Amino acid sequence: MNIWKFELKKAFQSPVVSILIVLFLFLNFWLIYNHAGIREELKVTNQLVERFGYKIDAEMAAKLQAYYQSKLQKMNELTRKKFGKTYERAGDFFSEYEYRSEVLSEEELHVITETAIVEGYYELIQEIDQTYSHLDLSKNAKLDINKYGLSGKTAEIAREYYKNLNNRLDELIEAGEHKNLFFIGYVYRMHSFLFKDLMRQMIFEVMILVVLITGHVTTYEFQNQTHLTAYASKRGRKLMLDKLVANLFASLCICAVILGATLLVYFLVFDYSGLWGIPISSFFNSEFPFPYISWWKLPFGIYLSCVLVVFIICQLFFTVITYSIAVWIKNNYLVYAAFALLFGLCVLITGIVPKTSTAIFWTRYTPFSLILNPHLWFIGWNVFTPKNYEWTTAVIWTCLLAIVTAVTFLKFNKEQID
Amino acid sequence: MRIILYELKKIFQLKMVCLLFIISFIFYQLFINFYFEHFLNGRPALDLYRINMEMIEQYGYKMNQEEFEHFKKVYEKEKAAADAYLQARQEYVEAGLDTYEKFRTADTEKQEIRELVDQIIFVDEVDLFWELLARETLIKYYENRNSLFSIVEDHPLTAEQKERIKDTITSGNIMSAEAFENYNNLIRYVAILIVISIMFMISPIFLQDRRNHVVFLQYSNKTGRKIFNLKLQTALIAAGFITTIQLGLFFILYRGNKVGMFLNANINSVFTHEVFWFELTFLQYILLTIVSVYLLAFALTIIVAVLSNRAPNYISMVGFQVPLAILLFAVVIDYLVVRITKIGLPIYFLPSAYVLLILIGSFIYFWSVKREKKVDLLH
Repeated sequence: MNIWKFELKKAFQSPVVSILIVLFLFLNFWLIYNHAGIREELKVTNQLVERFGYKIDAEMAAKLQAYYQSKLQKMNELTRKKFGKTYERAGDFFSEYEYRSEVLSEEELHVITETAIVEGYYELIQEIDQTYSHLDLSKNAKLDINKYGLSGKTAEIAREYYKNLNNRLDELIEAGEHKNLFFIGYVYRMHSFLFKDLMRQMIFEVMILVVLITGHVTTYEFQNQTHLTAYASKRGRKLMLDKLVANLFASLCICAVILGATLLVYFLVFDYSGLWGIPISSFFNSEFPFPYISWWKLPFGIYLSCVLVVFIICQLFFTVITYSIAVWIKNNYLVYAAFALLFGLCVLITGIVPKTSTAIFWTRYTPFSLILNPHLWFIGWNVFTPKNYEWTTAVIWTCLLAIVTAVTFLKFNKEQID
Repeated sequence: MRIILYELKKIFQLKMVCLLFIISFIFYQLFINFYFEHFLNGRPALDLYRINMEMIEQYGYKMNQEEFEHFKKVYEKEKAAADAYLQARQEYVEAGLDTYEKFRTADTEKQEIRELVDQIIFVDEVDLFWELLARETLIKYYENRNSLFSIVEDHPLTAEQKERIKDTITSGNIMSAEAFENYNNLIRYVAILIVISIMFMISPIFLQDRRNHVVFLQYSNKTGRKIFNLKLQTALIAAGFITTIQLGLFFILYRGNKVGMFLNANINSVFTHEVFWFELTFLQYILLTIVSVYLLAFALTIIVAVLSNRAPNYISMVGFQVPLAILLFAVVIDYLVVRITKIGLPIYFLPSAYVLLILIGSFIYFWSVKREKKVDLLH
């Protein structure tokens, strides 16, 4: 226990770690701040959910329509008084060449904006059925095959993949999973913002810290020429085991600090109250003509937790990878370079394998490829995001790294240290 | 001199050089190769490039109103050829697409019409039609050249900016937007690669000696603390060497992009939609970016070397370079290497930025040399 404490002290005593944490948190907050302009508009969604629930059915649609009509009427009263003009759609007010927002007080403008948003929901609800009935996944298969130049066996896999996705889509439509309110993805792109921009940024930040710390702690004795004493003591070479535990714990701490602080601020800025139970495959969450289709029914809260679990698992992988490299190399500067090279190679190899070989799929089962698209985790998006991709990667690499660590220990135990 | 040679040998250890080579290779594969392989691979990029080339052949590097009329006439002639192409095909005449004009404005909402249009454009990739599209784009650029006045978005134009934009509009310079954009993308990544290379190679320069306790021997022998200055100079020589090799390699590969025709073209052009403060040809612009990459590399080297002398261990050394790298990649390179002297920034921005950079560099250099003379090594 005591040894772990001292090893952890080595991890956090460098001022550079705290400086980087502060800097990274600042960058995250800055990103959130730049996106915070829409937070007032997002609140309309929470109000609607509070009023009508998020499940869209005929009854709810009728209620929403009535609500929308009353809103529109109120808005028209206002515009008639102000400009002597009424609008059929609230959107028309904003699409007018020079809409006269200067003349309006903030409150009045708010009424019109709110009406326009409710109108957006009302109109999009009418489009849901049409959008989903027009989805033709065999077309997507063709597109993917063309785009990535697949042929033969790989093309067959692509077709098979979309057949599976199609089954899932039918199931989803059957269960009405897509008919739920959420922030309008086309407009606000909250899914991309949270899971792509913010999450990916955090993944790289935590990765940098984790690799720096692990390389430092693991090679500490060799770098400070205390290895002859430390590894000759009673604890002896088992000290390396303590270092591994300390590294894993330090990585968890870093994850907790960065994720905790950033997500806390995120959810304070953007109000998700009432929305935690809405499935991620909701039509309103989609940002492109092709919607997000999660492989299982995942409500937002659970989806976020799953993403966080994969996030942390990946960081632990990076810790163990760095650790194993460090035990072999013993110079942490070269360890950092080696890790960067490994990262580059793993990403590079997916791009240069021949398009006709199935290697194009299985070379992607690495944590390095996995972390590049956190917004597509658990979602069927293209051929490279199959069902169970995340879990399979996690299991494969757990086994792989367990073997690597075992070999590393065996080697280190017998090694000549001088 | 002998010390510098020995120090150079220490920087360019075989192990480090091999690693640098692999890093560069991976970086090229991941980021740079794309702009070599996909330059002019798409359409209408290829057609625009070809027509730009043809324009320079026919009209020289400038185009006047008369030549523009001629250019339009060629367009009309090709349009007639396209009409003939369409009329020769039964299915197009039947669908009412018997002239190019109708073909262009066809209602692609309709399934069968969209299929016919896609057949020519995307399936058969008929050169004539792509070329017509490209010519249309260029004619539009020339005719709407007054829209250049709106390229500075965030604030109203100053009198000088207006003057420069007016000059560009009246000049009729011909330049390929594809070639220019391609070079800008490439030089950005090459600059990033050079920054990474320098950071990687120079970082251990002092730290290594201090960790091995060689520094005590160095400072107590005859050369003494002068060695600090000599090592800084070594770092600068090494950085110059790395930058030269990287740039040399890059330009050897860049020759494959075939932009020779545009080297003497003026980059202030309505066709690239770019205006710069100076009348630069493409070649001059390339030389200017090279000079700025060198200046940036030297300033960076001094910062990295001094950091290497102060950092207690490698985690701090690398850790402190993370914010530096973020700053360089996200901001500095975009302002000091790519699209330099662009009209959006004040005319004195670039010179003053570089004067400031050189001042900061030399200040750190002399300050650290002076400080090192008296520093207490033991505490």
